[in-house]
Amino acid sequence: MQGIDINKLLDTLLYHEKDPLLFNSSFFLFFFGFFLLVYLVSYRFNALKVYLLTLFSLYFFYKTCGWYVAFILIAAFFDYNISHFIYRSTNKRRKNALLVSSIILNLGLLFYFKYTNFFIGIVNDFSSNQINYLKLILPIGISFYTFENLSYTIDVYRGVFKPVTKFIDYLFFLSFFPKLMMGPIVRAADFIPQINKEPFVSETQVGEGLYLITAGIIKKVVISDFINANYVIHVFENPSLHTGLECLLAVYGYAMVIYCDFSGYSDIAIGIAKWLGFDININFLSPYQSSTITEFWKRWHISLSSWLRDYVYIPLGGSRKGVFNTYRNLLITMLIGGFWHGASWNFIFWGGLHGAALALEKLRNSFGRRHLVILPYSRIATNAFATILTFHFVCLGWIFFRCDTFNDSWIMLKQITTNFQPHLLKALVDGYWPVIIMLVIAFLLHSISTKSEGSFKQLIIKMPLPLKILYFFICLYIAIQFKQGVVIKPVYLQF
Amino acid sequence: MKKSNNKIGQPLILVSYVIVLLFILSLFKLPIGILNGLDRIDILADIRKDEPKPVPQKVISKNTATLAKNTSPSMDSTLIIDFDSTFPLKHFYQKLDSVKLTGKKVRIAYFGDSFVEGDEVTDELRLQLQNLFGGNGIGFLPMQSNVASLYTQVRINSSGWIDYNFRDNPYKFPLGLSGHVFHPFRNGEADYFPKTNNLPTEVKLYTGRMFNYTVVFTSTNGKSGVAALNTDKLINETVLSKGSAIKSFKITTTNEDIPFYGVSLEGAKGVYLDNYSFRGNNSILAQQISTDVMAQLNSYLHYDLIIVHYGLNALEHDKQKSPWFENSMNTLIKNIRKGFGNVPILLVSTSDLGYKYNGKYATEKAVPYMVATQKEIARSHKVAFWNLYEAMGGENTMVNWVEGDTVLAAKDYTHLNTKGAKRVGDLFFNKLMASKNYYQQQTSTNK
Repeated sequence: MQGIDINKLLDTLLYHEKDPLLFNSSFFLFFFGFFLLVYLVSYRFNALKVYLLTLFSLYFFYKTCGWYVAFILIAAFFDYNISHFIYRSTNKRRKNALLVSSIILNLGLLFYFKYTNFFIGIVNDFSSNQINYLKLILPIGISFYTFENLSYTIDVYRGVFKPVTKFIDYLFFLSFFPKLMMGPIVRAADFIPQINKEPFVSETQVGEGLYLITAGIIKKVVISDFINANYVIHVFENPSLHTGLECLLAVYGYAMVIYCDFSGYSDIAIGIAKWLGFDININFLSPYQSSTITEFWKRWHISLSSWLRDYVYIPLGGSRKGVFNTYRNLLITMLIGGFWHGASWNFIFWGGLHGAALALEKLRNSFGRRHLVILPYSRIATNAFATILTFHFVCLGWIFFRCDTFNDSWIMLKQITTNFQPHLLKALVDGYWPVIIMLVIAFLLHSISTKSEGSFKQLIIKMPLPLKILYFFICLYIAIQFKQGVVIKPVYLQF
Repeated sequence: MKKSNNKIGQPLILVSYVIVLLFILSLFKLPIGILNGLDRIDILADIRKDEPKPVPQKVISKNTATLAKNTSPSMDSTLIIDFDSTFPLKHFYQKLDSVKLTGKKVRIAYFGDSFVEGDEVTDELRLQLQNLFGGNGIGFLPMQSNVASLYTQVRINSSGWIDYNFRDNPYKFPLGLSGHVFHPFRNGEADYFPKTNNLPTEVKLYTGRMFNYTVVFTSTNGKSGVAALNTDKLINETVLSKGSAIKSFKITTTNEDIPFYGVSLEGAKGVYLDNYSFRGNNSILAQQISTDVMAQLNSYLHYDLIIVHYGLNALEHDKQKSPWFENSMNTLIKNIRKGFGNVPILLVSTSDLGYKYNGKYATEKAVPYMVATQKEIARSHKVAFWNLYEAMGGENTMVNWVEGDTVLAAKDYTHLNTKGAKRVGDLFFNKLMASKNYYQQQTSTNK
C-alpha cells in the first residue's frame, strides 16, 4: 500500500465539482469525527457552539458546491432582514410588498438556476431565433433552502412566530449541514427554538441516531446504489433495447432505488441531527405500504408534501372553496410539486398524474368509498389489492419521473405492454440474480410493520456501547464493500 | 434531565472507534469472499500516493524488422498500420480515389460486436465516406432487427420472421455474414424507409437455396410487383428494383420455406459500408460463418476491405493474455482469407473499457494487453491494424466519456451513446483519410 500524499490530502479539503461531499464518502467520516470532537469541546458555550457549527455547515456546503456557498449567505441575509421589516411594519400593504419581494428574491434565484434553460428550450421550440442555453450549475440544496426561507418569511408574515433576533441563528438554521443538501425541509418554527438550548443527547437519542444513520447508509449504498448501478441505469439509458420484462423489472428496481436513495439520505440527516441534540421530523414512512395515493403522500417526502399543503394548497383555498376549486387546487399544488423536482415536462406530467389521482380519490371518498375495488368478504384482500394497485400507479409515475424524455417514457410503456417476452425470465434471473435478490430483500424489509421496526430500534438503543460500536462498524464495513464492490456487467437477454 | 445522563460524547466514541477499526482492517485482506470476493477496504484510498502504473510488456515481435520497415518512427500511433510490405490497403485507397472517375463501387464489410450494434459508428463513417466519394444507400440490411432504433439512416418496420442466428440455430441453417438467417412465419414483412439525403436506387435481395419461389414487393418510386427469386446457389441475389430513387420498399412473403438473409439498398456507384455486428461476439461466434457463404456473397458484393473489430467481449478481468482469443482470431482471419480471397483486412483494436477499482472507475487493466495482443495478431497475419483504443484517447477514455461534460458513453463504461458513436465514426473517417494520405506521401517520396 502506498503512503500518504500530502498534496492529495490538502487537495481533498478543497471543493471538486465532480466529487461533491456526500454522507457516504470516507471524507465525510473523518469530517464528522473531527466535527464531533470540536462540538464536544464547545457545546456548553452557546455562542461558540453556534458559530462553530455554522462554520462547519458552510464548509460542508463549500465542499458540495464550491463558491455557491455565497448564495446561502445572501439568501440568509435578505430573509433575515426582510422578516424583521415585515414583523416591525404595521402597514398591511408594506407587509405584503415585503413578503412579495422575499418570494420574488427566493424564487427568482431558484428559477434562474433551475429553470432558465427549460424556458429557453420552450422559447426555442416556438421561435425561429434560437437562444443559446446558459451554462448553469445548480447550487446543490437550493431547492430545499429556498423552501425553508419561504416558510420562515411567510410564517413571520402570518404572525406564527417572532423573527430570530440574531443573524447567526438564522444562518445556523438555514445552513445546518445534515439537512442542507437533500432535506428534509425543516420548518423554522420547529428548529429555531432548539438552537440556543444546551444540547442534550439521551441514551435513546444516541440509539435512534445510530439506527437511522446505519439504516440510511444501508438503504443508500447497499440497496439503492447496488440495484441502480448494476441494472436500473442500463435499462433506463436505452429502454428500446430492452424487452418489456427487463423494463418492468427496471421500473420496480427504480421504485426501490429512488425510495432508498432519498429516504436513506433523509434518515442519515435526521440521525446525525439526533446525535447533535436536534430533532428533525421523520421524512418517509414506508410509503409503498400505502393503499391510496392520498396515503402515499402522507408517507412520502413528508416535509415536502406538508410544505406544499401549508404554503400552496391551503393559501389557494384548499378544500374550503367548493368542489371544483378543491380539485383545481390539488392539481395546481401537485403540478408545482412536480416542477419543484426538476425542470422538465416529465416532472410536471408526473406531478399532474399524482394531482389527478388525488383529485379522483377525493371524488371517490365523497361517495363514501375508501377503495376503488372492494373484494368480497375480506378487508385484508381489499387492502392488499389496493396497496398493489397504488404501488403500480406510483411506478407508472416513476417511469415519467426517471426517463429523460417523454419519448423514452412511452417507449418503456410500449415495451412493457407490447414486447413483454416472459420466456426470457430465466435468462433474466440467471444474469441478474444478485440484483433480484437485493430487490426482494428490499421489498421484504419495506413491508415490515412499524411495530417490528420499533422493536429493532429498541434493540439497538439497549445495546451496550461496545456492541453499538461493533454494530456500527459492521454496517459501515458492509457499505464500504458495496461501494467499492465489483459491478455486475450488463448481460443481454435478446440476440 | 440530569446532566450526567447527557450522552453527547457517545457519538464521538462511536465514530472514533469505527475509524480506528476500519483503519486496522485496511491493513489486512480478508480471506473470505462474497460477491466476487471482499475487497481490501481502504478509507484513506483518496489521499494515498498513486501506484506506479504497470506498463504492458511489449509483445516481442518475432519480426521486428518488418515493423521497422513498415512504420517509420515519425508515424502517428493512431494511424492505420499496414503490416504487409506490399501494402494491401494501398489498393483500397487507390480504389477510393478512382471511384469517382471509374463509376465503380467500393464496398466495405464491418464485422463487430455491440460496440457498433445496429449501425452505430458505421453510420457516421459511411455518411462521410459517401459525402467525399459518392454513394447513396445504407448497404446491407437484415429482414428484422431487435435494435431497429439504432439505424439512423433507415427506418425498418418488420414482422413475421423467425430469427435463426449465432446463438439460436437448432437446425444448423447456413448463417449470413450478419450471423442471422430469417425464415418467414406465416406472413413475413419487411418495410424499409431510407432516411438519407441521397436515396438508394437499387434493391437487391439475398435468399438461400430452395425450390422456385416468388416474393411480392412494393415500393415508392421504384418498381413494384412479384419477383421470381434465383434459387440454385447457396445464397442467391435477386435484383428487385433498379434505376429510380426509392423512398420506401416493402417485401412480403408467405412462403415459410425461403431462407432470407437480407437486402441491400444501394446506388449505382460510390462507397458502401455493410455493418455486420452481433452482440456479445468475441470473434468465436463469427467462425460459424462458412467460407462458402463468404465466397458466395463476395461474388455478388465484391468487397474491397474487410474490417474486423472484436475484443470487448474477449476481455478477461485483469488478465494479460488470452490464448483462446488469439487462436480464435487466427482461425477467423484464415476463414476470411479463404472466403474473401485477397481482399485486404483491417483489424481494429478493442476500445477502452472502464472497471471499478477501489470504488473508482479506471481503464480495465486487461485492455492495453488486449490491444498489444491484437496488434501482434495483425502483425503475424500481415494485415492492417488500427489502434482504436489509442485513437479514442487511450487510458481512461471511457471514464472521461461517461463522466465528462458532454456525455459520450453509457454508464456501463463500455458502450457509446449516439453522440459518442458519431464521434467515433468521425474519428474513424479522419484517421482512415490521414492514413491514406500518409501512405500516398510515403509511396510518392519512395518513387
